[in-house]
Amino acid sequence: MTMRRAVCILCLLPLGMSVIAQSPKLSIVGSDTMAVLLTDWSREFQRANPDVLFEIQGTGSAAAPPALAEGTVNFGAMSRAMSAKEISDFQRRTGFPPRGIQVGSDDIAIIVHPRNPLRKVSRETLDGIFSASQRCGGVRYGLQWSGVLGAAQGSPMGGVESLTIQRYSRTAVSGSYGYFKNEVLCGGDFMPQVMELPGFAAIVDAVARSPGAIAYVGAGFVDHRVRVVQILDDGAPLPGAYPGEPDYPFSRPLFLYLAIAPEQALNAMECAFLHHVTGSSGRATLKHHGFQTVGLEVAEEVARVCP
Amino acid sequence: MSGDLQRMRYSIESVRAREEKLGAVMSAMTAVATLLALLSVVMFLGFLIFLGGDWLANAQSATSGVDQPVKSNFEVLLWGGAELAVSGGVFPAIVGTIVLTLVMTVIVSPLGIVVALYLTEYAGTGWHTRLLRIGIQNMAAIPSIIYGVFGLAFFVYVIGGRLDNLFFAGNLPNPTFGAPGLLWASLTLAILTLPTVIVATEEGLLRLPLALREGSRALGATRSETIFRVVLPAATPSIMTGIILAVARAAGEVAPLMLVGVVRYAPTLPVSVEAPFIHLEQKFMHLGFFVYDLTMHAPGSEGRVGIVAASGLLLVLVIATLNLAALLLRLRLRRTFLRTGFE
Amino acid sequence: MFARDRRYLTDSLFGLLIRSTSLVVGLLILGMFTQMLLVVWPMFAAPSVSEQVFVAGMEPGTAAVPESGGGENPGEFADRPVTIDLPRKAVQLVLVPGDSVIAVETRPQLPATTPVRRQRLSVLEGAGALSFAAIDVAERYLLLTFKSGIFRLMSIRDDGHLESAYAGTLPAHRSVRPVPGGQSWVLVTEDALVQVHLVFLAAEASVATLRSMPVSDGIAHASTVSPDRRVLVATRSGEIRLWQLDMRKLTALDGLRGGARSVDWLSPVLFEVIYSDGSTRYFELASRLAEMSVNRLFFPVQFEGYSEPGYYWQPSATSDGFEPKTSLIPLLLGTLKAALVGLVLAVPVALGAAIFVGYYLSSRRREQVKPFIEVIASFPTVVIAGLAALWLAPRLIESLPEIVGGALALPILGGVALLMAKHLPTSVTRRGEVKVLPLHFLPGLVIVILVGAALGHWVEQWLFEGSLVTWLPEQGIAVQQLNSLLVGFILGFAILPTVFSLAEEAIYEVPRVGAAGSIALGATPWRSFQDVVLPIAAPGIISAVMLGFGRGIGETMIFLLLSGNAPGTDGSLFSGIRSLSATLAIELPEAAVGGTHFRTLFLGALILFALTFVINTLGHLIRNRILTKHRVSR
Repeated sequence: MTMRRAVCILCLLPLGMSVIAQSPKLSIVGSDTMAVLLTDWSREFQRANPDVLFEIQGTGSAAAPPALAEGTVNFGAMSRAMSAKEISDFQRRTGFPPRGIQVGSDDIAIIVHPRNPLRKVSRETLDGIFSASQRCGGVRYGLQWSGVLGAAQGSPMGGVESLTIQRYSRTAVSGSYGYFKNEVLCGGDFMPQVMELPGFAAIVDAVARSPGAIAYVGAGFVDHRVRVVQILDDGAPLPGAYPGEPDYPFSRPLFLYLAIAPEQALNAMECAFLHHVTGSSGRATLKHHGFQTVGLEVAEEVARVCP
Repeated sequence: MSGDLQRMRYSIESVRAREEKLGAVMSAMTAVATLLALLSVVMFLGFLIFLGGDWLANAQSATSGVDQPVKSNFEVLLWGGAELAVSGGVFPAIVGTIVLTLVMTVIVSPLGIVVALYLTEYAGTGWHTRLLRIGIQNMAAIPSIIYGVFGLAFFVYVIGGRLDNLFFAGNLPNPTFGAPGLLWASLTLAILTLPTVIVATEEGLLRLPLALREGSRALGATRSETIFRVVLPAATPSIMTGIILAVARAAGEVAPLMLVGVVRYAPTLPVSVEAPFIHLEQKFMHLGFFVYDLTMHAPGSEGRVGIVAASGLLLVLVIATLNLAALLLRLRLRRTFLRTGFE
Repeated sequence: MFARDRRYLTDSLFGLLIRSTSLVVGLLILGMFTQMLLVVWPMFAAPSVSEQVFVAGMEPGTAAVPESGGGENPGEFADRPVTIDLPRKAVQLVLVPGDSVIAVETRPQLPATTPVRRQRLSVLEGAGALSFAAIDVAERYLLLTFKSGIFRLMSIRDDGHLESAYAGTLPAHRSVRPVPGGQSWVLVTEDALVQVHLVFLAAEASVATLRSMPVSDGIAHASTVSPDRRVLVATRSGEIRLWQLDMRKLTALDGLRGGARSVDWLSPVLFEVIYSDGSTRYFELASRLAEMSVNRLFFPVQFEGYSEPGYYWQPSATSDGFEPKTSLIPLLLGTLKAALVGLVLAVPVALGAAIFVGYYLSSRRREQVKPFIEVIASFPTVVIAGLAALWLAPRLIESLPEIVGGALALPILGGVALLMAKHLPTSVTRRGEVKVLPLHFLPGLVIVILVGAALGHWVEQWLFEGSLVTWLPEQGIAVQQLNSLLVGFILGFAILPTVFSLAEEAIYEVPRVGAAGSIALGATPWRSFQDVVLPIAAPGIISAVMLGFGRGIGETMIFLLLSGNAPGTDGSLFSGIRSLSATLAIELPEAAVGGTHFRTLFLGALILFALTFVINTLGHLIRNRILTKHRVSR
C-alpha cells in the first residue's frame, strides 16, 4: 500500500509544482559580446533592487529579434543594428517595429600571434584572407602566409611565412560575424576553411597559441598574448588606426532593443534598468570592459520610452 | 622407426614452441592494451586533479584589493569574483543542476518503472514487444543533441505553446511555458534517461524467480497486488540503481540543455522558500554548461585551464558520488534481500 | 463480494495504466521521428497559391505596400536618366544615354565639397540600346548592359571617374531584373530567364551566366525578383509560372485562370495578374518558405559570386538579399571523418583490453579491472573536451611528430614482435601467456612511448626539414590547430568504454567449454581463443564497434569545442571540420522558427537520428541473435 501511495505522489508531484508565481523578472537575450557586460550591469542593478530576477543568455545577436518578437524577453541585446529582414519579420509578428537604443559601441580588432610580422592590413587583404567570393577586391592567397606577408610589409618573417593561415571567426549567430561579413567581406561569404568558435575568449586563446592564426575579436577581449593589427582604410591617413582611435573603421554599435508599440511605455523595472545602464555607473562598467560610450543624447531616447 | 618418431616429436615440439611464442606475444599485446586504457583514465583524472586542485589550492592575491579580505579560490569558484569572468560563481549552477536532476527523477522514475513492469509482467513475446524493446535499446544510443532538438520542437513550441494559450493567455505574448525553461529541460532529460531506468528495472524484475509471482497469485492476489506487494519491493535495489545511474547520466549532459533552457547567468535560484517553491518556467544555470561557458566565453588568460579543471572536477565529483551511491545501494540492498531469501 | 470486485477493478485499471503508459512511451520514439519529419516536410512541398479578393478601391498597389517587391526598377533605362548612389564613396552617378555616347555626371553627396564631374563614355558599335546599369556592393565596378547582350564593366575610381575594365557578351534580352543582394541579375529573353552574376577572380571582375531556365512557350512578361528569390513569368500562352532561382524547374501554379498578360509582385507573397481582357486579380502564396531541393542539399551547386560549383554550408542570412547555402555534405563528411579517426584509435585499445579482461583475467580480477575502464563513460564529455581544448589542442599541433611517434611506437613494436614471434628466444616467452594485469610492464611501456616520441622528433628533423607544420602546407596540406585528428583522439577516448564494455561482454559470454576442451587437447590459450572463442564472439565484437561508431557520430560537446566548426570538405586529417551535432547546437537557437534554415537543421537532425538508428538497430540485432544462440547452447 505504501508503495502505491509513493507512486501516486511521485506522479502528482510535477502537477503540483506547476503552479506559478509571477515574480519581477528581467530577461535579456542576445549578443555574446555584451554578455559579460550585461551580467555586470545586472549584478550592479541587483544590488539596488535585490528582488529582481535576471536571466541572461548570450548566444549571439541573431537570437535577439526572434526572442523579442515572441515576447520571451524584456531586452534584446545586439551588437549590430537589426537588418531590414529582421525588422520586417518582427513587424509581421507584432504589428509594430522594434525600438533600439544604442548604449555603446564596440571596435572589432584584427589580431595575430605576436610572432607574426604582420603589422598593418588593408581591407582588400582581409577580404582575400577570409572571403570565398572576394567581393571587396581581395586576392585569394595560397595555404601559407608567404602570399599575405609578401604582399604586406615587414622584414623578419619569424618563420611564420611557411605556416598555414589559420582563420578564426565567431559562429554565425554572433553580431560580430554579421558585421565582419558585411563590412569587410562586402557581404560575401567566409571561406569553408574559416574556423568558427562559439566565443571570443576561445578565439583569443587559439590565436595566442598558434603563430599562423588570424582572427577578428571584440576589442574588449584583446589581451597581452596577441597582437592587434593596424587597419589601413581606403581614404584614411597612412599610419592606419588601432581600435579605440576615433577614425578606426571597424566600429559597431551596441544596442538594447525593445518590443514596445509606439504609444506604449516600458514598465518601471525595465526603465530603472535602462536608467542604470545609461547612467554614470553603467557607463563606467562599459568603459571597464573595453567598449566605447555614446553621447549623452541617449538619455533623451531613454526618456522617450520612459516618460 | 625411432628416427621417424624423433622427427615427429621434434616437429610437434617446434609447433608447440611456435604456438607458445605467438600466445605469449598476443597475450602481452592485449595486456598492454589494457594498461593503455587504464593509463588514459589515470592520466585524465591526474590532469583534472592536478590542474584543478592546483588552482583551488592557490589563494587569490593579485586582484583582491587591500580592503578586501583575501578569498580562497574555492570561495571565488563558489560565489564568484573578479577573476571569474562568469560573474555569478558556480553555486547557482550547482543548485540548478541538482534541481534539474531532481525534477527529472520525479518524471522518469514512474515512467521507467511502469514500462519495465509492462515488459516483464504484462507483455507477451509478440512482435510489438520486440519492437518496443528494440526501440528502447535504440533510445539509449540516440545522440543526446537529438533529444534537445525534439525537446525544443515538441515540448517548448508545441506543448508549451498550447499550455500558454490555455492557461496563461493573460501573459501573452510573453510566454510562460512557451519558452525554454526548467520544466522542458527536465522532461527532455527524462526521456533521455528513460532507457537507463527501464533496462535496470527490467533486469531486476527478470532476476526475481517466477515462483515468487506464482505463489502470490496462487494465494489469490491479483496481478497488481502481486506487483505492489511482492515484485516491486523485491526489485527495489535494481530500480534505485537505475534511477541513480539515470541521474548520473543526466548530470553530465550539456548538449541538449543548450537548446531547452540553460543560460549562462541566472543567479536567481529556481527554488525558493515561499510557495510554489520551485519555478519550473524559469531558465537556470548548469554545472556542465558552466564548464563550457568558461572554456569558450570567459575572457582571461592562462589561468582559465585551472578554473575549467576545478569546475570540471566538481562536476566529476558530483557524478562519481552518485555512481558510488548507486553501487553501495545495490550492494546493501542486495545483502538485505539475500537475507530475506530473494535473489 | 464488493471488496473483491473493487480489487479486480483496481487490478484491471492498473493493467490499463501500465499498458497505456508503455504505449505512450513506444509512440514517443515514433513521435520523435514524426515530429522531425513534420518539421522537415513543408520544405519540400511545392508552393501553393490562393486568390485574394479585395474591396474595390482597396486594392494593393494603389495604397503604399510596406514590403514592396518591385514596381520601380532603379537601374533600368526607360527614357530617363539613371541615378545610382554610391554611399561608400559618397557620390552619385547620373547616366544619360545618348545616340553614341553615355553622358556620366558624378555628383558628390552632401555636403557638396567637390565639383560635379562630367564624363562621356563611347558606346560600342552595334550594341543597341542600353538595358541596365548597376554597381557591385563594394562600389568598384559599374556594369552597363545592352539589349543585344553586350555588356561593359567599368571600374570606378574613388572620385567617381569610370575606366573601362572588361567587356563581353551575354544572351540578348528584352529587360533585366535585379536579384536582391546586388550580385546578380535575371535577364529576360524571348524564351528563357537567364541569371547572370558578377564573379571576382584574382581581384578581376567579370560577368558570367550562372543559371538559365528555358520557358518552353515563350515569355510574355516576367515579374521582378522577390526578396525570396522568386520570379513569376506570364507565358505567351497566358499561363503563370514560378521560378525560384536555385531550382531547376518552373513551377506551374494551380488555381490561376489562363489568359494572363503580365504579372508582378506586390509583396514577398502577394502578386497581381493582369489578364488580356484588362481585368486584374490578386493571388497569394501560402508561405515565404523557399522550396528546397535534394540537389541543393547533397550535390555541388554554384552560387552567386562563386566561380565554380561546390559544397558550401553558410545558411544564415546576416544581410538582406543573402543567398543561403545549405549543403549537408560538409557536415556529414566532417562527422564521419572524425568518428572514423576516433574508431581507428579506440578500437585496437578497446578490443585488446576486451580480450585481456574478458578472456585472460580471472573472474575476480575481471570484476576489479573492468569498472576502471568503464568509468570513462561517466566522465562528462564537456569536461573532457574543455580540458582538451585548453590544454591539449595547442600542444598536439606543436609536438605533432613526437605525439604521432609515441602513439605509433607501441603498435609498431607489437607488429614487429608478431612477425618475429617465431624467432623469439624461448627465454623471453618462458613465462607463457600473461594472465594477470602486468603492472611491471608499465616502466617499459613508458620507455617505449618516449623512445617513439624521440624517434618522431628525429624523423621530423631528417625528413620534414625540421618542422612538420611548415612542411605539410608546402605539400598543399593545411595544418590547423583544431583538426580532425584532435577530435578523433578525444572522441576515441570517449567511445573507448562503449566498445570495450560491449566487446568484453561478448567475449566473456562465450561458454568456456570449447576453449577448455581445446586447451586439454594441447592448444595454447591464445590458439583456443583465436580458433574457438573468437569465431563465436566475432558478431558481438562487430556490433560493439558499430555501437561505438554510433556513439561517436552523435557526440556533440567534443565536436563543438575541438573541431573548429569549419565546413570544409577536404580529406586532410589536419584541418578543421564541422559536424552535424555541433551545427545543431550552434545554429538551432538562432534560427527563425519555421524558416528554411530551421527546417534544414531539422533535416540534419533527422539524418543523424536515422543514421544512429540504423547503426544501432543493426548492432543490436547482431547482438541479440548471438545472445539467444548462446542461451540455447548452454
